[in-house]
Amino acid sequence: MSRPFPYSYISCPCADTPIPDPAKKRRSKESSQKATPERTDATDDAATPKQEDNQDEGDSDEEQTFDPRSLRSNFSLYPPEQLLYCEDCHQIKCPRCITEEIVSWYCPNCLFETPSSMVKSDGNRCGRNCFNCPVCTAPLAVSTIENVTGNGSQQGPWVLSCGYCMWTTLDIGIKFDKPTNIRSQLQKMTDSTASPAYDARSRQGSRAFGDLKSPLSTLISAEGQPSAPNDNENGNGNGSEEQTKEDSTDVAPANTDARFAALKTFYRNQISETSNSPNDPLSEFGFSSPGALNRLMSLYASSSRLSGLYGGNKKAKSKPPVMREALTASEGLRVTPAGEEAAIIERLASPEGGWDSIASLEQRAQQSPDVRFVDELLPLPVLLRTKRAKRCKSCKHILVKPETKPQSTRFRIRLIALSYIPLPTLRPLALPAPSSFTSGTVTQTPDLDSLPPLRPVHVLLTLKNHMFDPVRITLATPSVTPGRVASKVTILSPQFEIGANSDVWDEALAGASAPVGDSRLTGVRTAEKVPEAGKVWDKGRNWTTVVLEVIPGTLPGSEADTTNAGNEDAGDEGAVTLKEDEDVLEIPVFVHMEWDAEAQLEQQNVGKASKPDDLVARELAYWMVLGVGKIQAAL
Amino acid sequence: MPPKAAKSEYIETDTGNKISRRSQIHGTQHIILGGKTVIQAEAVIRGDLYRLHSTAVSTDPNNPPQQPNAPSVAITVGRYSYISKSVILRPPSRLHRGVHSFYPLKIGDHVFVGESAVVEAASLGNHVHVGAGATIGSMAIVKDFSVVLEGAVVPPGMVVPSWCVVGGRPARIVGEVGEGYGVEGAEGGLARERYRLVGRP
Amino acid sequence: MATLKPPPAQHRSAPTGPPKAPVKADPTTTIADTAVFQGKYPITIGANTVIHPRARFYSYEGPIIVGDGCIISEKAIIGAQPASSRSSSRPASPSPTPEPSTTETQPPQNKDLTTRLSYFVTVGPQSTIRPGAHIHSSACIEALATIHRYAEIGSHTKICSGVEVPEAGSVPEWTVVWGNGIGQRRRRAREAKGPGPAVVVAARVTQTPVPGLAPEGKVIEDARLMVLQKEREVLGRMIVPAGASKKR
Repeated sequence: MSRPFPYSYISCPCADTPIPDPAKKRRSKESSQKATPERTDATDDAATPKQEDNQDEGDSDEEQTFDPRSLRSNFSLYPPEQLLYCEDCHQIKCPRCITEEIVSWYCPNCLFETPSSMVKSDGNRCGRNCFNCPVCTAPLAVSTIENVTGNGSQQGPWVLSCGYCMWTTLDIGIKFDKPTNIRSQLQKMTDSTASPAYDARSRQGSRAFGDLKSPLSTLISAEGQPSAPNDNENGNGNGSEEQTKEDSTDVAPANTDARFAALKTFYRNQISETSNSPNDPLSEFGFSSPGALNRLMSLYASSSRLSGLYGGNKKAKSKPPVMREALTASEGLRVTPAGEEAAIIERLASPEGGWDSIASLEQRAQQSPDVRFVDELLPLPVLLRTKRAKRCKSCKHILVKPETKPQSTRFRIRLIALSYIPLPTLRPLALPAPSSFTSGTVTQTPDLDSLPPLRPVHVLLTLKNHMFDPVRITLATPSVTPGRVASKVTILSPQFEIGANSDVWDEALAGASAPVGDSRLTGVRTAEKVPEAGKVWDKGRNWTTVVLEVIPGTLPGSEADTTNAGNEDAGDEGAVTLKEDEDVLEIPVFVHMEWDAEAQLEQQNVGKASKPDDLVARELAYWMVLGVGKIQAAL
Repeated sequence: MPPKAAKSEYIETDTGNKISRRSQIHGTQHIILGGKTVIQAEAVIRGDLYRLHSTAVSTDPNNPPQQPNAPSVAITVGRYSYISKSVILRPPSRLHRGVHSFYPLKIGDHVFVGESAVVEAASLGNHVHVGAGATIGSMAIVKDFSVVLEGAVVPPGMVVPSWCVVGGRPARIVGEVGEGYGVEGAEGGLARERYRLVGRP
Repeated sequence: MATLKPPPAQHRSAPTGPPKAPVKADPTTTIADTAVFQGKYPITIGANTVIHPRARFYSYEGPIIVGDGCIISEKAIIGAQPASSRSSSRPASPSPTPEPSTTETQPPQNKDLTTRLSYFVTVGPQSTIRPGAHIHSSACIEALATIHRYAEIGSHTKICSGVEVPEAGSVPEWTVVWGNGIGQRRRRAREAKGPGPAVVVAARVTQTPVPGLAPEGKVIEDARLMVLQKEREVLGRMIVPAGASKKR
């Protein structure tokens, strides 16, 4: 989601890792240390004050001007509302420096919570009537076929229908007898894992289906399908049959899930049979388990004197057991029937075939691997979503804890960065124009989507404090923006204070809110107001506005600049040599904030507190990027 | 205070609604605006598609729809909601027990509906953002603090859960907004400011 | 809670206003008072058709024929305005659209600028149907969709929201064009389909009889048309018709 101009992003300090630069090895080492969140405690004096030097660039260890165009900054810039704040680390936390844990599972369609035990047993899909269209993913509605128009009792067969692409379960020849419990009805109709009392031979009868099975789905060796039932009788030895009692000799699992289950059972049995310790509970985990290791070891150990060391039971001493592969249909083997591919090709070429009949890759990704044609797609139970709590990765303190109920939008804990760092808003300053009537969009302000190069524009940066303590802010920006398009930026009053987020009544009683608010919002004051260096533009209860003077640079390849030598063809807006987004004017601004916080319940900080009456000096520093606009190609 | 040009664009009601003179509102008696709502030019609001009282509807098609006992509400819009240019707000309708009727369209507080969007939802929650050119299908429910991206087509009957971002055609959940979404002044919490700017120089 | 006093509906009939098109409407037609009809050529509207407020018909380039039982929603544009028509006749951006199939593509050279909507056509809000397009019966054009010139939309076909059908494009009958339109279309089921393979297999497995033939896919469409019928009836009672200049 790119945002319209003007925007502001904040760089999470966690991304403040060094850029390999041999010339600045010492410094980058330091800054890498700083990047570790443990050390960025604001009370840790070593961590933060260094940023003040940033105005004279390269003076201290914070020498790296944040480059919004750097590829890395893609990973550290966040819109302010996405950032959290850890009160223990005293640091901004981005989605990359938190861990998440699931609070609850819910269906996004019916908004019912699903207990995690059910998620474990039944999978993370809605068990009610919520389905997505297999064709277009829109939600399906349960609707009746009969008496659509009739009044009174709604009877009769029901279908799932898509309100978007008009797919219905009739497209795959399915109707339901009841409007409830659709999932289990559908499962009964399509899923044979539940009670696979199925005669493998009769399956040959349904050639149409067998032929349509995708050869991609089978990773098994070729063997004539007709012989499978016979093989069952011979080849199916001892283990699997007794253990899976519904797996009788003649039964072959029909669909993918059942086959997978059969294969799983088969191989589990094989492992337990061939491993030395059949009762090893770990063998449940398959090949990666110590059971497999045991088996391998015993292969070597059996012939040696060391056998006694490795759990030398009787079996191990005897011939090493050999694990065989699945051989029969009942074990989960499925053999591609002869002529299957030919049938598919035939169908593709038939008049009903063709583009419209083939399921797209996107559609097939959600379905059984056998599915190839649109009319084999089954409705998809809606995937569940989660509500998640978020913890600080470094100190494990909980930052966000939503209420469990899916419908609730409240939080038990919500430490968002916006409650701590000032919220930046950017606005172009309307030039003191002779005519000031403008409606809605300010016409006198420059068009941010095409800023003329080399013509100064003023932008108003408002920082709004949400803390209950006044904050001292120092802003710093490189005088020239990084990158090939060098725009000059001057912050007219880089040091200022923002008032505390005190009671709104204070302001209301003072009666000063309305006029101040207006000017802040419109950006146009009386005609004679002119940006002045060293003066804040405007100030309110808990906000301060300063002016940035920006002189957009010229784009390489534009008329104003013909010296460039690039041959990148990723042209944009006519400039042939322009790289992607190079015409976007983004200003990196370093924000350093200081405030005196009440040392409440933070005993560990008492020693470091420098101020009397329980006040702790706090600091926080970070980069933000102000997206001002796009620079015109031509002068 | 506002200059002439701005003055003619919006009518401000007692409750602070700012309604463009060029908006196209039908059936005003069936529309409730919560106050400080903005309706921009060429927005079509179909208050005339209200729900007929069941007694009046059910079997007698000749029964005139007029004189319901109390005016039935077709569209409610909460406070600080913003209906952009060329938006169409249209109450959803469906056939229920053989009767085709319109259902109220409820729009919460601090909602933004972008230009040319077509909204036929059953409800848009609070702090919902509907991007320009999006379509919200009939009877869809968009919960609080969710975002419908530009050009998305929310299919009929879809439920968009809170904090989710949906996009595409048909719309699917493509992400989530940050926890700070909807905080005053930040993304999702700009409604007051947006309101103040309307009709001002 | 304020009731609004809307401004009087501004017709485009300024003193030097555009020509009002000759409209021939069936008496059973419901035409909202704020619908706009402009142009030189006649506009014919069939029986029981409902035209929502702010729908716009521009017959500058050719006649417009709307069949029986159609619903034209608000702000739908049928035809093209003279000033913008030349520039906007071609889509500004090569829009992603389904490739025209071979079914009787109308050659643009024909220059038949009659815009035709057959019966039971639904045209959604803010959709655009350009001159020369031919929408066959029971088709559904959803909100914000665009049907370019000479395009042909088959019967029982649905063009989903926001999709553009290119100039002289043709969509076969019983098709749904959805998504971004790039080949994202599907055929609707018309006749009864046998149970899907998964069902057949499962039935064998459980040794239950394979469920009988489901009803024909057509019943869904019948139901939809029935709903439309009801909707038209309701709308016919609700929409303030042209001429009845009481409250707005």
